Amino acid sequence: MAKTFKELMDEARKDVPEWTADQVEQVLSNGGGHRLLDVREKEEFRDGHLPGALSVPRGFLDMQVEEVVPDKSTPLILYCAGGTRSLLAGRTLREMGYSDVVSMSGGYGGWKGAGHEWVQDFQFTPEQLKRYSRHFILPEVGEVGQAKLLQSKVLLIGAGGLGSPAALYLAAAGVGTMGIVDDDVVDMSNLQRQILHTNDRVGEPKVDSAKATINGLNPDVNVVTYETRVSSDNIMDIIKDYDVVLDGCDNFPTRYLVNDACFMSGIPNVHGSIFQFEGQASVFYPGRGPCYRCLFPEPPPPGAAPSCQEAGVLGVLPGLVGSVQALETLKILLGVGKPLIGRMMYFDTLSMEVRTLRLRRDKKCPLCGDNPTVTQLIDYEEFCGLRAPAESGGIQAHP
Amino acid sequence: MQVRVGLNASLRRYIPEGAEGSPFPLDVSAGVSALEILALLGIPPERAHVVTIDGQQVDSDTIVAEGQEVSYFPPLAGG
Repeated sequence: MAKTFKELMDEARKDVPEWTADQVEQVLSNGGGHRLLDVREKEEFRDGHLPGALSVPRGFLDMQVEEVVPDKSTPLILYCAGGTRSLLAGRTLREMGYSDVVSMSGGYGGWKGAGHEWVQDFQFTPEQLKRYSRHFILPEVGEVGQAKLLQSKVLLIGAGGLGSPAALYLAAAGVGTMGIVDDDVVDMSNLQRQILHTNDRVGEPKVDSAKATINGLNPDVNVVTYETRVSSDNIMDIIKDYDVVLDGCDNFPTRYLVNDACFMSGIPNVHGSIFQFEGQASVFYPGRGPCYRCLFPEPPPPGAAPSCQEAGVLGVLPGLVGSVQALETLKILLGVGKPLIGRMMYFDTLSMEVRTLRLRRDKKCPLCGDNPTVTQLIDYEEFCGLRAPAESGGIQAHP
Repeated sequence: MQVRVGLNASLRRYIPEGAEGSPFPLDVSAGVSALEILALLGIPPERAHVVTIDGQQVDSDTIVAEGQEVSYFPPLAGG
């Protein structure tokens, strides 16, 4: 026999106790181990919710609740706007085997009316809700993670082969601020791999070209351009406001400079480098693993490790390595997964073998070892044998 | 005994004639170190850089056992 709404509610009340907002507040402040589930629609949740509440809209409750709360003996407090949906949702959970389910009478309105604390999450624009919708679906990102990305700052050293794919993917992902350091101009020979740039921008500063492409893809991104060479004189000032540095430069003095500056500033350095058909990527995270100097204490003799300009490079290769750098950067910003700390991905694209090498911190490392000798930035061109000790000047970053 | 040797990036030019790419098999005396294998191939010791045995970074004076794969990874400049 068909039931009326009132009959359904009466039946639900038999299975699901109702607590007032004051009772809920008291239980939560006593730390009773209850999980708070907000069963309202996402839009209602975004407008404000109880601190610590998880959003599981009633329409998805049956499908999602076992992922969010796998242990069915977990005590649950459900709430909605006024107490009706949460009562009916509570009955559903009881039918699914959850043994300790309570509904908050009066709902969120009652909670606010009683003067209890509530919070409002990051406010996305309607366009952002669409743009990042595939991120929102991922529990590892969600709205909280996307808000983190939008509030994050990443500095790219170089807008070249590696910087191009990295910048595009980080921009698409909604990294809120992207700094780009490069003092070069777009050259026709760059366009075979540096996909930030276009034919009609040959001769323009790379940082301007990069900014135009990034903002064409995602106007959310605040692009800060540094049309300069990074050097021992300016790098500490440039990197200090960033959460992550992505190294996409193409010369050893800059690689050592970036490594040392990041270590001294406590900023993770997402490394990528390439040669012809091969590439490597790793994360040098101060205090959590080896640094670049642990791997390569001494730079190779000049000429022993040629650049792309000297040795050539297959155009797709930096797309692969730069994308891994972007991925590692997002993992660090979101705090998810296992970044390539103490590991190096090595790509051999001719045999298409990808290996993950296990690295170790070098106790004798002059920078991060037990008895460091490099305690301030040095002259990196001299260190790399590119200049006699008497000369001085900036370090070129030519990605 | 036989080991396998991986030479990467700028070290590939030292791959012996007749070897089919990298890694390749190499007959060596028992008790040989990773650094000594470099010398056998005519590679200057300062080119050792990152040395791995079966994927784990090791010191260059580590002895390589039969059947193990020792690989050498120079730093890459390009970006």
